Amino acid sequence: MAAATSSLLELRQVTKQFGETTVLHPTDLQVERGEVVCVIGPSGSGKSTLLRCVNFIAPPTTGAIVFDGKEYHPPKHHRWIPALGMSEEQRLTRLRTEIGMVFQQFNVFPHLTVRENVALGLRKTCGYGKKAADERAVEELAKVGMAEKAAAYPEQLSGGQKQRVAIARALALEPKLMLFDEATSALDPELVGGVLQIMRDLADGGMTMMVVTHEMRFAMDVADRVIFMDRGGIVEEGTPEQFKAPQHERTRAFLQSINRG
Amino acid sequence: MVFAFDTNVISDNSGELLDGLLLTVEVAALGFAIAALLGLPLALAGQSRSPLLRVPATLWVGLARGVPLLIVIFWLYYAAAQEGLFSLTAFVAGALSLGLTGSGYMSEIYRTAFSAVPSGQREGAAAIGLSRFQAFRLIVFPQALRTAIPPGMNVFVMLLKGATLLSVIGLADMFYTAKLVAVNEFKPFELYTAAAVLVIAVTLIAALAAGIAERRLSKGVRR
Amino acid sequence: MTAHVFAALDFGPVWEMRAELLKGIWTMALISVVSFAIAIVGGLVLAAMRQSRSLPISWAGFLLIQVLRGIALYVLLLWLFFGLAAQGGFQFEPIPAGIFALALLNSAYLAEIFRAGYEAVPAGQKEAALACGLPRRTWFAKIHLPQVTQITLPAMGNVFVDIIKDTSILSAIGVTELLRESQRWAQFYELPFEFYTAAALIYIVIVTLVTFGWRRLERRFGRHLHTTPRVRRSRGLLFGIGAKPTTAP
Repeated sequence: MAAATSSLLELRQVTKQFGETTVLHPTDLQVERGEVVCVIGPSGSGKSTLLRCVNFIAPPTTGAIVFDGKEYHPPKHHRWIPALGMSEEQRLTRLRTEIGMVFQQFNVFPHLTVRENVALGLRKTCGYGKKAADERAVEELAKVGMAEKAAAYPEQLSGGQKQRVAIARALALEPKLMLFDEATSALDPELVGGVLQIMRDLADGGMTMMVVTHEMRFAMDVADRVIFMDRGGIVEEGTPEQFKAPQHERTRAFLQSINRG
Repeated sequence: MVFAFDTNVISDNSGELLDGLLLTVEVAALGFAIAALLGLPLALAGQSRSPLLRVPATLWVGLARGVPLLIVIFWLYYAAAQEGLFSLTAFVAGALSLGLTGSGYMSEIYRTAFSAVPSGQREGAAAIGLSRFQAFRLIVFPQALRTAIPPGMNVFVMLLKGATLLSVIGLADMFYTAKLVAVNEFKPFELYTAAAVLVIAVTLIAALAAGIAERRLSKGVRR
Repeated sequence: MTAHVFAALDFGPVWEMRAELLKGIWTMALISVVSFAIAIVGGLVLAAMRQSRSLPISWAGFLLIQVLRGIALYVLLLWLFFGLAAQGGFQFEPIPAGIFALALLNSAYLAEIFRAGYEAVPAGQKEAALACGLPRRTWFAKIHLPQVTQITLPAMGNVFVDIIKDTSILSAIGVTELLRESQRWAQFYELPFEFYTAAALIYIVIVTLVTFGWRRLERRFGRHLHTTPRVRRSRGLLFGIGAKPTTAP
């Protein structure tokens, strides 16, 4: 199912509905390899929904996602015999090994040690043996500065440390695309900088990233492209330069309200 | 009224009384094992999207919680034998009754425990490419088990109390012994008191353990 | 083979004995309601004891509740009838004894439920009410009690259903409730399958009816909680409510 496109990621007319409410209106988007795209906007604008559609954690209602040349559609729900949807689900599961995601609430696994958190993906989805997985895990943890805490449990860590572990966990699978869903919004202010630095380094290293964030300075510094969303739709997109003089009223209003605080 | 409490008749028969008690505890333990094992697939089926799985599971749970234990015992012991379906010993019928009834309760406990696991955990598991089955086995279930233990122990206490009913179908528990000896020795008060105290003590110990488990496990509840 | 077996079922006698079974149901209902009512009173007493400022009374309440919760109904009945009465040479009346045992044991469960309900109501409400000048009596009747009732109602419903089911155990001391009647005719007609299956179905129907009825009661007491329809939210997501679709240029 190869689709004719050179972008790493393409969203075609992707929508998301919860019951009666439309959270994401038909959206088209393209992300090139190595590009860093930052998505900004007020609460409820659908930014997180958009991100979650990309790796089908919250599958879109309609539309298609083309990733690395392969096309993916919202899975059909077979009500009576759930087993019928197996092969499509397996495809999506494999897709998620190529896309890494970091969450606002970290979502590290509390019942596993830090090292086990990172090694789990390697063992279960990449087929690594225990020893190899552990070694790789420690390598990845070292890259985010958490190697000494390998044997600790998440509840012993600060928020920033947990988020680093989450990042290492995502990077361990060597994804082609990294999704960040307000990765620093739940952190104490003094811990935000450390995580942002890791994200900057990743971007400098050429990783393709989609970042939903409230950190304006980060977005303007690091992004190749900025997207402003409001009420379920993309309002404006452009380079950080272009965003210094936004075209739309709503974009201006939003940026002003951010600066006022 | 009798004021002299004859402890000798108790100590003379203490062996049989304790054997009977042990039998009760064994039946309850086996019944609980059955309930805990059965409850898991029941809980999963009850949450399934497919009505094929969900409806029977819901019906089963409704049955298990709506029919008195004694009826289940009578049915399994007498009714099934009549129709030639199967003929069970008192022990097996007892354990099965307890297990089937308990499975309904355990199913609800599992379901509550599953929903107590933060939904972000499932998202995190999906994000690293775990299948739904893997995510359940490696991430959701281990965390849910912790939450399920205190109410599970309460179910065990409930089954322990239910197991006392089994003397009606002839299980040789401590009340059976008490009855036999009382007929011979004409000291029913001492014997029934001893039997009662024994089983109440065991039940209280189990309840105490359940309470301790509940307090310990509700302390470190974090993200 | 199973089909052959099931073809030989004979529910005729069950239908014939419906009057007797109905009597059993009536006895069960009566005992259940009376025991439940007395258990509520007992539960309130025990809960009050626990709340008492006097340490010995509070402790006595605590111990009583814990011990009572560990006693199986059957054990208590056996001890009363075959231990106490047999020794003393007298006899208890089955129905009052049954009601007593049911009420006694369930008052302990209810006491715990009341305590949990009492603690679940935010404490600041009492202070606020008194500060507004409301007399204690009004606060208790119009503010405290309705909320405690609303919180404890579901758990109380569970106790009531358990009492209904536990009346079956009273058959062991000769009370002619539903199970006893089923047993009697099952033995008389030698049709345990038919009679016990019928009894099981009757219990299910009764429990289902009571559960539904109780839920209506819960709804009536929980009116203040089910007001505006809430939009279903997705996991960790906030989205605009009621926003008209805008066309993104």
